Amino acid sequence: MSRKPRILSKPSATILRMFVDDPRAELFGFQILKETGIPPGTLYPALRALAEDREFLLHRLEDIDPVEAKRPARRLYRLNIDNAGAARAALAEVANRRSTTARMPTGSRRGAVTA
Amino acid sequence: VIAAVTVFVILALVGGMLHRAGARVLDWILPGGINYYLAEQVARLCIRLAGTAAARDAATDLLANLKTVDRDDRASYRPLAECAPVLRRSVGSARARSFVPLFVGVNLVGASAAMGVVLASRAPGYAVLTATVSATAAVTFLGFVTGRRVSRRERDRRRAEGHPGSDDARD
Repeated sequence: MSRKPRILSKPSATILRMFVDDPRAELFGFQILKETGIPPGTLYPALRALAEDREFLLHRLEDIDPVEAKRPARRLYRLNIDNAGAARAALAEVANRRSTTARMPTGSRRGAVTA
Repeated sequence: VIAAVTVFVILALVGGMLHRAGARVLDWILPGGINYYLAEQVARLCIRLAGTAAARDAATDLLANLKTVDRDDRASYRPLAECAPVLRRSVGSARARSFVPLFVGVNLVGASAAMGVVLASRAPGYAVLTATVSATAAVTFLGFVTGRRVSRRERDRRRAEGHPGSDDARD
Protein backbone atom coordinates (compact mmCIF):
# COMPACT_ATOMS: atom_id res chain seq x y z
CA MET A 1 0.00 0.00 0.00
CA SER A 2 1.49 3.37 -0.97
CA ARG A 3 1.84 5.98 1.72
CA LYS A 4 0.85 9.50 0.69
CA PRO A 5 2.74 11.96 2.87
CA ARG A 6 0.72 14.86 4.16
CA ILE A 7 3.45 17.44 4.50
CA LEU A 8 6.76 17.81 2.71
CA SER A 9 9.97 16.56 4.30
CA LYS A 10 12.74 19.08 4.95
CA PRO A 11 14.86 18.10 1.89
CA SER A 12 11.81 18.03 -0.40
CA ALA A 13 10.86 21.49 0.84
CA THR A 14 14.41 22.76 0.21
CA ILE A 15 14.31 21.40 -3.35
CA LEU A 16 10.83 22.74 -4.07
CA ARG A 17 11.77 26.17 -2.74
CA MET A 18 14.54 26.42 -5.37
CA PHE A 19 11.96 25.97 -8.13
CA VAL A 20 9.35 28.23 -6.52
CA ASP A 21 11.93 31.01 -6.07
CA ASP A 22 12.83 30.80 -9.77
CA PRO A 23 9.78 29.41 -11.61
CA ARG A 24 11.48 29.58 -15.03
CA ALA A 25 14.56 27.61 -13.95
CA GLU A 26 15.19 24.22 -15.46
CA LEU A 27 17.54 22.33 -13.16
CA PHE A 28 19.10 18.88 -13.10
CA GLY A 29 19.82 16.76 -10.04
CA PHE A 30 23.56 17.34 -9.83
CA GLN A 31 23.07 21.12 -9.91
CA ILE A 32 20.65 20.93 -6.96
CA LEU A 33 22.98 18.51 -5.16
CA LYS A 34 25.89 20.96 -5.43
CA GLU A 35 23.78 23.90 -4.29
CA THR A 36 21.92 22.27 -1.39
CA GLY A 37 24.28 19.47 -0.30
CA ILE A 38 21.38 17.01 -0.10
CA PRO A 39 22.85 13.50 -0.60
CA PRO A 40 21.94 11.75 -3.88
CA GLY A 41 20.17 8.91 -2.07
CA THR A 42 17.65 11.48 -0.81
CA LEU A 43 17.69 14.01 -3.64
CA TYR A 44 16.76 11.88 -6.64
CA PRO A 45 13.83 10.00 -5.03
CA ALA A 46 12.58 13.35 -3.67
CA LEU A 47 12.72 14.92 -7.16
CA ARG A 48 10.80 11.98 -8.62
CA ALA A 49 8.24 12.16 -5.82
CA LEU A 50 7.78 15.91 -6.27
CA ALA A 51 7.22 15.38 -10.00
CA GLU A 52 5.23 12.17 -10.13
CA ASP A 53 3.38 11.84 -6.81
CA ARG A 54 2.70 15.48 -6.03
CA GLU A 55 2.91 16.90 -9.57
CA PHE A 56 4.63 20.07 -8.35
CA LEU A 57 7.43 19.60 -10.92
CA LEU A 58 7.61 18.58 -14.57
CA HIS A 59 10.52 16.64 -15.98
CA ARG A 60 11.97 15.83 -19.39
CA LEU A 61 15.16 14.41 -20.82
CA GLU A 62 17.71 16.94 -22.02
CA ASP A 63 17.48 17.53 -25.75
CA ILE A 64 20.99 16.48 -26.81
CA ASP A 65 22.55 13.83 -29.00
CA PRO A 66 24.51 11.66 -26.50
CA VAL A 67 26.96 10.57 -29.22
CA GLU A 68 27.71 14.11 -30.29
CA ALA A 69 27.80 15.51 -26.76
CA LYS A 70 29.78 12.44 -25.56
CA ARG A 71 27.67 12.22 -22.42
CA PRO A 72 24.23 10.88 -21.52
CA ALA A 73 21.20 13.17 -21.49
CA ARG A 74 20.29 14.51 -18.06
CA ARG A 75 16.78 14.69 -16.66
CA LEU A 76 15.72 18.31 -16.31
CA TYR A 77 13.13 19.47 -13.80
CA ARG A 78 11.05 22.66 -13.74
CA LEU A 79 8.13 23.98 -11.75
CA ASN A 80 4.70 22.87 -12.92
CA ILE A 81 3.13 26.31 -13.36
CA ASP A 82 -0.39 24.82 -13.19
CA ASN A 83 0.42 23.56 -9.70
CA ALA A 84 2.57 26.48 -8.51
CA GLY A 85 -0.12 27.64 -6.09
CA ALA A 86 -0.33 24.23 -4.48
CA ALA A 87 3.49 24.08 -4.28
CA ARG A 88 3.61 27.45 -2.49
CA ALA A 89 0.83 26.30 -0.15
CA ALA A 90 2.78 23.12 0.65
CA LEU A 91 5.88 25.18 1.46
CA ALA A 92 3.85 27.52 3.63
CA GLU A 93 2.43 24.50 5.46
CA VAL A 94 5.96 23.20 6.11
CA ALA A 95 7.05 26.59 7.48
CA ASN A 96 3.93 26.82 9.60
CA ARG A 97 4.37 23.28 10.95
CA ARG A 98 8.02 23.92 11.70
CA SER A 99 7.27 27.03 13.73
CA THR A 100 4.52 25.16 15.61
CA THR A 101 6.89 22.23 16.30
CA ALA A 102 9.59 24.61 17.53
CA ARG A 103 7.16 25.96 20.14
CA MET A 104 6.11 22.46 21.32
CA PRO A 105 7.73 20.82 24.38
CA THR A 106 10.43 18.29 23.35
CA GLY A 107 8.48 15.21 24.47
CA SER A 108 5.44 15.96 22.30
CA ARG A 109 7.27 16.54 18.99
CA ARG A 110 7.32 12.90 17.91
CA GLY A 111 5.22 12.37 14.77
CA ALA A 112 4.80 16.09 14.16
CA VAL A 113 6.57 15.95 10.79
CA THR A 114 5.76 13.22 8.29
CA ALA A 115 7.89 12.10 5.33
CA VAL B 1 48.40 -16.14 -9.02
CA ILE B 2 48.37 -12.83 -10.93
CA ALA B 3 44.82 -13.53 -12.17
CA ALA B 4 43.67 -14.37 -8.65
CA VAL B 5 45.32 -11.27 -7.25
CA THR B 6 43.68 -9.14 -9.97
CA VAL B 7 40.27 -10.55 -9.06
CA PHE B 8 40.91 -9.82 -5.38
CA VAL B 9 42.02 -6.27 -6.15
CA ILE B 10 38.88 -5.64 -8.24
CA LEU B 11 36.69 -7.09 -5.49
CA ALA B 12 38.47 -4.95 -2.93
CA LEU B 13 37.94 -1.83 -5.04
CA VAL B 14 34.23 -2.55 -5.48
CA GLY B 15 33.91 -3.46 -1.78
CA GLY B 16 35.72 -0.30 -0.77
CA MET B 17 33.57 1.75 -3.11
CA LEU B 18 30.35 0.72 -1.39
CA HIS B 19 31.12 2.96 1.56
CA ARG B 20 32.02 6.61 1.22
CA ALA B 21 34.84 6.21 3.75
CA GLY B 22 36.38 3.38 1.70
CA ALA B 23 35.96 5.43 -1.48
CA ARG B 24 37.67 8.43 0.20
CA VAL B 25 40.68 6.26 1.03
CA LEU B 26 40.74 5.01 -2.57
CA ASP B 27 40.55 8.66 -3.71
CA TRP B 28 43.59 9.32 -1.61
CA ILE B 29 45.54 6.22 -2.75
CA LEU B 30 44.76 6.13 -6.47
CA PRO B 31 46.33 8.72 -8.78
CA GLY B 32 44.09 11.13 -10.72
CA GLY B 33 43.91 9.47 -14.15
CA ILE B 34 43.14 5.95 -12.82
CA ASN B 35 40.76 7.48 -10.31
CA TYR B 36 38.81 9.25 -13.06
CA TYR B 37 38.74 6.14 -15.26
CA LEU B 38 37.46 3.98 -12.38
CA ALA B 39 34.82 6.57 -11.49
CA GLU B 40 33.62 6.59 -15.10
CA GLN B 41 33.38 2.77 -15.14
CA VAL B 42 31.55 2.81 -11.79
CA ALA B 43 29.07 5.37 -13.15
CA ARG B 44 28.42 3.17 -16.22
CA LEU B 45 27.99 0.15 -13.93
CA CYS B 46 25.53 2.13 -11.79
CA ILE B 47 23.39 2.93 -14.85
CA ARG B 48 23.24 -0.79 -15.64
CA LEU B 49 22.56 -1.86 -12.05
CA ALA B 50 20.03 0.84 -11.19
CA GLY B 51 16.81 -0.78 -10.10
CA THR B 52 14.84 2.43 -9.71
CA ALA B 53 14.24 5.45 -11.91
CA ALA B 54 15.75 7.70 -9.22
CA ALA B 55 18.93 5.58 -9.03
CA ARG B 56 19.24 5.68 -12.82
CA ASP B 57 18.86 9.49 -12.81
CA ALA B 58 21.59 9.76 -10.16
CA ALA B 59 23.97 7.53 -12.12
CA THR B 60 23.27 9.34 -15.40
CA ASP B 61 23.88 12.72 -13.78
CA LEU B 62 27.12 11.40 -12.29
CA LEU B 63 28.39 10.16 -15.67
CA ALA B 64 27.28 13.35 -17.42
CA ASN B 65 29.12 15.39 -14.79
CA LEU B 66 32.29 13.31 -15.19
CA LYS B 67 32.15 13.75 -18.94
CA THR B 68 31.96 17.53 -18.63
CA VAL B 69 35.33 17.65 -16.82
CA ASP B 70 38.06 19.04 -19.11
CA ARG B 71 40.47 16.41 -20.40
CA ASP B 72 43.40 18.38 -18.92
CA ASP B 73 41.77 18.41 -15.48
CA ARG B 74 40.98 14.67 -15.44
CA ALA B 75 44.53 13.78 -14.39
CA SER B 76 44.10 15.65 -11.11
CA TYR B 77 40.39 14.98 -10.55
CA ARG B 78 39.51 12.40 -7.86
CA PRO B 79 35.80 11.71 -8.01
CA LEU B 80 35.52 8.22 -6.48
CA ALA B 81 34.00 9.44 -3.21
CA GLU B 82 31.19 11.08 -5.22
CA CYS B 83 30.44 7.70 -6.80
CA ALA B 84 30.05 5.76 -3.54
CA PRO B 85 26.54 6.94 -2.57
CA VAL B 86 25.34 6.55 -6.18
CA LEU B 87 26.74 3.01 -6.33
CA ARG B 88 25.08 2.18 -3.02
CA ARG B 89 21.80 3.54 -4.33
CA SER B 90 22.12 1.55 -7.56
CA VAL B 91 22.97 -1.68 -5.80
CA GLY B 92 20.33 -0.95 -3.15
CA SER B 93 21.39 0.10 0.33
CA ALA B 94 20.25 -3.13 1.98
CA ARG B 95 22.01 -5.28 -0.61
CA ALA B 96 25.15 -3.12 -0.37
CA ARG B 97 25.24 -3.61 3.40
CA SER B 98 25.09 -7.38 2.95
CA PHE B 99 27.71 -7.35 0.15
CA VAL B 100 30.38 -5.54 2.10
CA PRO B 101 31.12 -8.26 4.70
CA LEU B 102 31.41 -10.69 1.78
CA PHE B 103 33.95 -8.46 0.08
CA VAL B 104 35.85 -8.02 3.32
CA GLY B 105 35.92 -11.78 3.91
CA VAL B 106 37.00 -12.58 0.36
CA ASN B 107 39.76 -9.99 0.52
CA LEU B 108 41.12 -11.05 3.86
CA VAL B 109 41.22 -14.67 2.67
CA GLY B 110 42.83 -13.47 -0.58
CA ALA B 111 45.46 -11.45 1.25
CA SER B 112 46.31 -14.39 3.53
CA ALA B 113 46.53 -16.79 0.56
CA ALA B 114 48.78 -14.40 -1.37
CA MET B 115 50.96 -13.98 1.70
CA GLY B 116 51.17 -17.77 2.01
CA VAL B 117 52.28 -18.07 -1.62
CA VAL B 118 54.99 -15.46 -1.10
CA LEU B 119 56.27 -17.14 2.03
CA ALA B 120 56.21 -20.59 0.41
CA SER B 121 57.84 -19.59 -2.88
CA ARG B 122 60.07 -16.87 -1.47
CA ALA B 123 59.46 -15.01 -4.74
CA PRO B 124 60.01 -11.31 -4.01
CA GLY B 125 58.03 -10.31 -7.15
CA TYR B 126 54.82 -11.31 -5.45
CA ALA B 127 55.53 -9.14 -2.46
CA VAL B 128 54.31 -6.02 -4.28
CA LEU B 129 51.09 -7.75 -5.32
CA THR B 130 50.59 -9.08 -1.80
CA ALA B 131 51.09 -5.62 -0.38
CA THR B 132 48.49 -4.26 -2.85
CA VAL B 133 45.95 -6.91 -1.93
CA SER B 134 46.57 -6.42 1.78
CA ALA B 135 46.24 -2.63 1.41
CA THR B 136 42.98 -2.89 -0.54
CA ALA B 137 41.63 -5.45 1.94
CA ALA B 138 42.51 -3.07 4.75
CA VAL B 139 40.79 -0.21 2.88
CA THR B 140 37.66 -2.31 2.44
CA PHE B 141 37.70 -3.30 6.07
CA LEU B 142 38.21 0.29 7.27
CA GLY B 143 35.49 1.50 4.93
CA PHE B 144 33.19 -1.21 6.22
CA VAL B 145 33.79 -0.47 9.89
CA THR B 146 33.61 3.32 9.52
CA GLY B 147 30.76 3.19 7.03
CA ARG B 148 28.64 0.95 9.22
CA ARG B 149 28.94 3.34 12.13
CA VAL B 150 28.26 6.38 9.94
CA SER B 151 25.38 4.75 8.08
CA ARG B 152 23.67 3.68 11.31
CA ARG B 153 23.88 7.24 12.63
CA GLU B 154 22.79 8.66 9.24
CA ARG B 155 19.86 6.25 9.03
CA ASP B 156 18.58 7.25 12.45
CA ARG B 157 18.94 10.94 11.59
CA ARG B 158 17.18 10.55 8.24
CA ARG B 159 14.35 8.56 9.76
CA ALA B 160 13.91 11.27 12.37
CA GLU B 161 13.83 13.94 9.65
CA GLY B 162 11.57 11.87 7.41
CA HIS B 163 13.77 11.81 4.29
CA PRO B 164 12.02 10.21 1.34
CA GLY B 165 15.18 8.21 0.55
CA SER B 166 15.46 6.74 4.05
CA ASP B 167 14.04 3.40 2.98
CA ASP B 168 14.77 1.16 0.03
CA ALA B 169 11.35 1.53 -1.58
CA ARG B 170 11.51 0.62 -5.25
CA ASP B 171 9.53 2.72 -7.70
